[in-house]
Amino acid sequence: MGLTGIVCCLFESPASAGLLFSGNLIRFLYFRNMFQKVVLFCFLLAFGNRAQAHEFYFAYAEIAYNELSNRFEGTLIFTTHDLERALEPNGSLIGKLESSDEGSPIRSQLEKYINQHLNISYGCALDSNAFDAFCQTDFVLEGISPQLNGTIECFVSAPARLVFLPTQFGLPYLTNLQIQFDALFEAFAGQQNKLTLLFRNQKETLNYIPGKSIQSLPLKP
Amino acid sequence: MKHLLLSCSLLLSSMAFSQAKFAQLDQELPTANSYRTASGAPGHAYYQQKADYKMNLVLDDAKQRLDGFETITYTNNSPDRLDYLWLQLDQNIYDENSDTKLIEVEKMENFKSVGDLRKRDFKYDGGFKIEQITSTSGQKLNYFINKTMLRIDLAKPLLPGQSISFQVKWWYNINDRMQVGGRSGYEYFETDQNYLYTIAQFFPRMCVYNDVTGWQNKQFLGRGEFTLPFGDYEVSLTVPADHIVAATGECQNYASILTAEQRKRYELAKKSNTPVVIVTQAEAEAAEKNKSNTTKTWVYKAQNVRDFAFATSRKFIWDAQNQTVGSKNVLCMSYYPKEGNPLWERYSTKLVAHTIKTYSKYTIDYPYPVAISVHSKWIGMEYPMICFNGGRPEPDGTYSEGEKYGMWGVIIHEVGHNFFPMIINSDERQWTWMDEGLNTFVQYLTEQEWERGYPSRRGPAYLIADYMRGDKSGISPIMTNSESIKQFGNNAYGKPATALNILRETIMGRELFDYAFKTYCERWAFKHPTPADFFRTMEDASAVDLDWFWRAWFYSTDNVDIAITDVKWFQLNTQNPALEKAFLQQKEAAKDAFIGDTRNQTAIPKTVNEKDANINDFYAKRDLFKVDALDEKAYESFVSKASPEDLAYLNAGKQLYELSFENMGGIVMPLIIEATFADGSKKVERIPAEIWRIEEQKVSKVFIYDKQVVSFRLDPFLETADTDLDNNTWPRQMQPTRYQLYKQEPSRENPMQRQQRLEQMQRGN
Repeated sequence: MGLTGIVCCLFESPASAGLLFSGNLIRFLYFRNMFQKVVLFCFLLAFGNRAQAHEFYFAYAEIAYNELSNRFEGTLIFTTHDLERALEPNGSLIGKLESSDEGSPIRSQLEKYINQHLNISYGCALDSNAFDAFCQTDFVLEGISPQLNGTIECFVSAPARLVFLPTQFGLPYLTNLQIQFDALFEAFAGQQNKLTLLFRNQKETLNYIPGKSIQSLPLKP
Repeated sequence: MKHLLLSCSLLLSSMAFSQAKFAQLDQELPTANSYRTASGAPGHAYYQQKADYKMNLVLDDAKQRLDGFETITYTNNSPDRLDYLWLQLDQNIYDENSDTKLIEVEKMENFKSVGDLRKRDFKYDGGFKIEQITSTSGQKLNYFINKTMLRIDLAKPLLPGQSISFQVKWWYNINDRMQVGGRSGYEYFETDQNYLYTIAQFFPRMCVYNDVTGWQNKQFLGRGEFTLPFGDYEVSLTVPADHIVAATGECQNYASILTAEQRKRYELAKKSNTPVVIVTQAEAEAAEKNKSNTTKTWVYKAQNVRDFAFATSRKFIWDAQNQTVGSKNVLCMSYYPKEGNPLWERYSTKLVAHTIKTYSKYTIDYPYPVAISVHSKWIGMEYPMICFNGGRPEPDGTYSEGEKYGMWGVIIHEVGHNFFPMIINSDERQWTWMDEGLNTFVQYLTEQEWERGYPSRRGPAYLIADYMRGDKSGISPIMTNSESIKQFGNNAYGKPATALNILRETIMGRELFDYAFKTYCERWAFKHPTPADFFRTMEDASAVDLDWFWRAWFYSTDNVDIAITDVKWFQLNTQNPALEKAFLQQKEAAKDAFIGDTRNQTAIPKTVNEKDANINDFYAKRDLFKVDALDEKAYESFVSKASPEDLAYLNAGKQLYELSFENMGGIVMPLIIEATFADGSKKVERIPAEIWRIEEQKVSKVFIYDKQVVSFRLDPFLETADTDLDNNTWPRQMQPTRYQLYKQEPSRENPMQRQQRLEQMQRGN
């Protein structure tokens, strides 16, 4: 597991974050552990420590629920070099997405990154007896399309279980989609994302800013 | 009475609400006065201050330190008495106690690597070291430093029309741009152990004093850029003898600096319309290795500029060409290390020439003698006559297509900044969009003239839709102070550039827009415009009331989403019974048949009344569609009263369509409707935005055609930034998602790999 993964795990849990500041011992251990983990990656810093200013910091996703294939299908659009920079600290020098092949390590890394930062949780039926299960998406990166204007489109899809609708079961918490889209938040303080979800005739655009990386979207009957 | 008052107030507030989108901008804009007129032009009492500089600069290449001694002559052209002067100390954002660092909102989750933490904790001894401030006779002046601002307390007030000269001695440690970032600094090349300096905001500079802000001494926090008065500069730059210098203005001593061969090439370049190399890569590489220990002094002069910047390195390759603008010759130049090639030698100077030529067409003729592009990794930053630009190939000299377009775009953009704000000198500290937005707009025009179909990132309306749609909590109106803008790039670059493009293509038309835009540029060249001056001039020069547009696009975060909600189809009743009854008969015959009726046709061989004729009475026997004498008489009477023109119109077979529209996004826009007829032909209707002037939510419009329409489409040319195209069609036609379009692509093979396969096949492998 790369550095980002470790730190993410700790920070994504409010309980863990609280522990950091609850006592000197825990705080000390945390930082010592972190240091041990990151020493191996120090050679990367020369590449990951770019300090240039630029003015983009905007990613956009368009996700549609395809009822025929029962999949979530979508496109994520990033500024290419922002995305490359976000991927860099995860492992090694990754090279350019533009010249990457299908099946190359960078594509796997990108797919993993997308799944870390784009997630749809929804009420679903795992089997006939489960009325109140929650499912989460696991996106497959189907392809990328670098654009000449400096952006890159990433095409993804994920199988969906039966999605509960407001007319079913009368369980309102199951009929909200919880959508996380915080890609690049960890890399750029000014990052902001938007995501448009198309679910049957429903079309909503949600806004994501640091501190607000998950949005709840009630499904309409 | 109380009730009456309440009713009146409710009525007034509802009237105000109903007119909100078309209310004039009276309250938002400052009152016109003798400095700035209501037409948007400088008034008869307009004034601006002047700041002239004479500087001696010494670069210490071993310590990466810059020492300066400057004499500033400040002229008070205002009608006001000045008791003190304010200067800007921009380098102080690198001071250890700088507010820039303190005000950065942080969370632990921002630090995910040692690199992040080291960057956060990085310290260097930055900021100005002011050694002395004296009068020209050497008397110490009292001064006070407030972070990035320095106040000089004058012994006696500077009266209107008076000038004062004083001297400042200073130095600072130059920042490592690769470590600390920044608009200027140095890049260190480990392979040959040389430095490339791009130096700016490097000297204490006068603040602007004017009728709008008084002293514009808002602290420099890092984002809101610079507000500077015009003046003349004389600068001596002492650098290692093997350095090549690029700077604002014209060099006064090439004769003693360059070799005879380089001077010959320089003279050749001045007459050439293609780039001529003045310092070759071989010469630069030799300098990289030899590293001179002596120094040379380069002397520059620049007139009527708002700032001065320079770049210096022994790594520089230098090429130049002439570009004619109006009746003037402009020397376009590029300076770049070998690491910039092959991109830089091939494109940079040509891009500089193209940019000043194209911008001159849309704004004012480029007034300066030189225009320079310097290669500086990762950044793009602008100064008078000179800019620093990224776009670096891979170490092996290859580059991606994206890298190429990135380099082209940044050079056009930064050279374009010569016009906004270097010449049309707006207040960047307050309004980023006034230079970035206007510049990005003309950048788009320039890119499109560089290459047909250039993939511009900003400008076309449809490209801003993703940013503008949906939840608005993370975005700001364009009219937001530079430091407080959310989504800086989309807000201050993309949205204003798009807005101007929409004005040009859709609201005003190219001819009116270009005239008004040029008028603004001509009025405010070498002056200090404000947003109101821009808004007012665009209306004043075009006779187009744009207050609703400024309100929607610049003062709100609304988006465009207009829907076709209903279409009703009508035909005219000719009153001619022969035609109308036949029509009714046809309609009756075409009615959907109930399945029971259909089956009964055969299941019931004969009904009772079919067997017994006595059953059918008058009602059963009458023919509803038969034209009788009464019908004919009524029609004759109608014809006798109608004019021949009315009759002809009634019988012309007109098709009438009532379309209903709903404003879902908040911004009202013109309605551009494309009707497609049964024969495949099309017609486009353009309805001005003022159709929404009374009803802002829902409007309807009737269209009359000679042919039957099969479909309507709103915004067919993607010119209004409509964020939801699914509700733009009748009958409803869902737009394919990007994913669906991707799935329809025949091949997803890497284009370069495909080309390689093709070449292999052609070679017979």
